[in-house]
Formats: sequence, C-alpha cells, structure tokens
Amino acid sequence: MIKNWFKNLWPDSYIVFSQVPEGMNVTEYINSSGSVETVEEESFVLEDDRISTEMVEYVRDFLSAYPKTQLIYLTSAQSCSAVGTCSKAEMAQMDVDTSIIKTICKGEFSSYISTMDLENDNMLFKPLELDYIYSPFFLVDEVKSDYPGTALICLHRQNQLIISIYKEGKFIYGDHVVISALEEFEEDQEAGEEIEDDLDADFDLDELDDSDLDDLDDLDDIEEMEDEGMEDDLEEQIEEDDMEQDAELKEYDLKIYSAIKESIEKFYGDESVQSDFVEYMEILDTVALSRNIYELIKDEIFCEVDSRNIDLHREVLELMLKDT
Amino acid sequence: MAKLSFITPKKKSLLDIESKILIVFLIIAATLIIGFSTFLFVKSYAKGSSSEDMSKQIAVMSKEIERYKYQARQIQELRLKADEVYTTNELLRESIKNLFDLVPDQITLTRSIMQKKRLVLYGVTPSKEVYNFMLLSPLKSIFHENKTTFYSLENGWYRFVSVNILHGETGVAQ
Repeated sequence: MIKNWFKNLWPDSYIVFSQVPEGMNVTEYINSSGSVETVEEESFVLEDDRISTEMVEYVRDFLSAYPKTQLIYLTSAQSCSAVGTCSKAEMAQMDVDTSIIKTICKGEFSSYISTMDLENDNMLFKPLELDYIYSPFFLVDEVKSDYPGTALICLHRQNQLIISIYKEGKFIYGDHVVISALEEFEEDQEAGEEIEDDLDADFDLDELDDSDLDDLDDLDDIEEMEDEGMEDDLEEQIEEDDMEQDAELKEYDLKIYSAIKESIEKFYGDESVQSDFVEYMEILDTVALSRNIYELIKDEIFCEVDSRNIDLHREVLELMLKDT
Repeated sequence: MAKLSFITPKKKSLLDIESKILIVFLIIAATLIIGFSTFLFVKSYAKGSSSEDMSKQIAVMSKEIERYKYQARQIQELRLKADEVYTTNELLRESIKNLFDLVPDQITLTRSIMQKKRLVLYGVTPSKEVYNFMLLSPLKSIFHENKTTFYSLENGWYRFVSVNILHGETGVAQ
C-alpha cells in the first residue's frame, strides 16, 4: 500500500536524450498507471560542446518534480560500433583495440564505444548525471523486423547511419557512418553522374526543336517584358530557391545512398566476417527520407527495401524498460 | 540492473540534501516533542497516583484527627471533671477544715456525713449547752435548717446527732 502511495506520488519517469546536428532533442515521459506517456518534447542547442544552461534548467525542473527520473541517452559517438562476437580475442582479430573500449555483449554480438567517447558523453551532460547510455546497435536489434535471409538494417538519424547486417537473424556485421565525415559528394564520381543526368534531363538544348524556338520571344519584346518584369522575377526567384532546396535534399539522399553502398562494399570486402549477398534492407527512419532513395537502392543494390518511421526516443525508452 | 547500458545508473534519492536535512530536523523535533509528551504523561500519571494516595492519607489522617479530637474532648472533659473534683475536694477540704475549726475542744465528733446539701454530725458533748452555744451557733449561720437529737450517756455526757440542711444552690460536696 505504501509502495503504491509512493508510486502515485513519484511515478516512474524518464528523460530520453539524443544528439542531432542542431543540438539535443529531449523527451520527457511519465509512467502513469501502467502506460508510459509523453509529457513534453523539446530541442536545445549545444554551447561549446556542452548542454546549454537552459537545457540543464529544463531538466532540473522536471527532476525537482520527479526526483526518481531516469536519464537515458542514445549515444552518437562515432567510435560506437558493433561486431558479431563477444570474444575479446576475436574482436582483436577484427582490429578492435579492446584496451581502449567499453564493450557490452548482447546475445552473440557486442557493441562497443571508446572509453574516451564514453567520458565525452558523460562530460557533455555535466552537471546532469546520466543513468543509461545505450548503443544504437542494441536499439536496432530490438526494433528490426525478422528476415530469414541476409538483411541489412539501417537506422537513419540526421547525418548518421547505424548499419547492422543480420544473417538468419544473427548479427554478423556492424558499421557506424557519420554523413558529414564522408568525402565531398562531388568527389564521388558515380553519385555525381546521377546528379548530372538529372540536370541534363531538364536543360538539354539538343532536344529543343524548331517549334520550341518559335515559342521563344523576339528581342523586340524585351522592353515589354521589362514592364511586366518584377512579378516574373519574384516567381523565378522562388522557383530557383525551390530547385536549390530539392537539390540539397537530393544531395543528402544520395549521400545516404552512397554511405549504405560503401558500407555494403566494406561488408563484402571484410574477410573477418562471412559475407553473404544482402537480400533485404530495412531502413528505420527517424528523419523522413525522400521516397527516391528507396527506388535508387532497389535499382542499384538489387535488394528488397522496406522502410519504417520510428519514434527514436520512444524506442530508446522501450529498450531501457526491457533492459531493466 | 541494466545489462545493455554502457554505464550503471546511480541510486536515485527522492530527496535532495536540503530536504534530507529538513526531515532529519523534523524527526529530531518530533522525537523531542513525543519524548517530552511521554515524560509529562508519565509524570502526570505518577502525580495522579500520588495524589490518590495523598487523598487516602488525608482521609486516614482526617479520621485520626477526628479520633484525636474526640480523645482531646474526652481528656478535656476529664480535665474539667478533675478540676471540678479538685475544686470540690478543695471546697470539701476547706469545709472539713472549717467544720473541724467549728468544733470546740469540749465536743468530740465520732462520725460525720457530708452530703451536697446536708451535713450529719455524730459526736459526744459534755452538755447540751456546750453543744448549743459552741457548735450549733456556727452551724446555724451556715445551714438553713438544723435538727439535733441528744442521747444521754451514763457518765452524764450526751451523744448527739446533728442534721444540718442547706436550701438552694450552695452546698458542700460529699
């Protein structure tokens, strides 16, 4: 009875953090009468690679009301990756320096993070004290759909890809790709050709015939056009802006595609794992990619692609609840 | 215990350090209040029981006092009686002394009965005249009523019985 009274007074509460390029996303949850409900979602910018004082105050306000709140962070550390073994000896054979990492084993695979990045994650949240730091590979392992063959599961966070490859449901390969760390897109010949093709399709002068040339206005009409000019200029400017934005989006999508492709190539070329042809790909999307990328993957990588939008923080919370 | 987290969660406390200090002080204050209340309760209970004892003692003492008062009254009465007896005796002694002072040398008293309002004298007198002049006169000045009876003896003397009676309040003790 006293336990229930305490539960009602101080219900289980959680705050989930995840880092994005713009700063830190924060979601507060409360377990009220058995169901975990979202209280509030907020985003904060970082100040000198630390959480802002505004965010500290925000979290402390919640902590003062719910002192038993668990602070959970899904790490974004670049050193965080995963391998298909729990044996340190086998990890050493895969060129993983086990002396400078913290490893957590889950079933038959393990995820690791460098002790320095782990310390950085803790420092990032000073003066708050985190309770849990989870690897995104464990999140992928919990959220993924089952597939009988070789499947690539890709968790897409803004500017980050967590790539896990499973064979018969068993984890065999993991890769953590940070998009901003990729080489400049223009240097990627293959992806560059794709963009050129797209642009050529819109502006190929060779494809214009005589009737099209007749439709062009004479030079005499230019003065008239100047009179009507202002509104047209504005419309053109907007169209140009839209095109620029589309191009940026397309560039990002292509970077994602390129990263996935590179990761698959690395997987195929990795002698430490038993490579197999990737038959299925599931993209767990937290940002909303454009549909074009799925078509591109289907056409270029020749595998079945499914995508699923997930609530990242909710899934992290579910992982933590399952883990404790 | 989280198995998949890179760090171990720290133990959460419901209260911050300030609240803990406040609660410790509240507990101390509550303990003191409860202790003091208990002390007062015990004391008042002890007082209650002792006052009950005192009441009983007072009742016993009251009875004792009543008894002593009664005894004192009795003693007082006895004392008064003793005083009275003493006074009476004194009076009687005076009366006897006076009586014997009254009796002349020629007359011999053989017996006297002194009652409160009556004096009876038995004796021997050489003659009736001696008796009448020397004893009867003073008796008459004291008693209201005098009756004397003479019996002649062989030697010519007279045995007499004198009954003297007082009227009213005054008289002599037996």
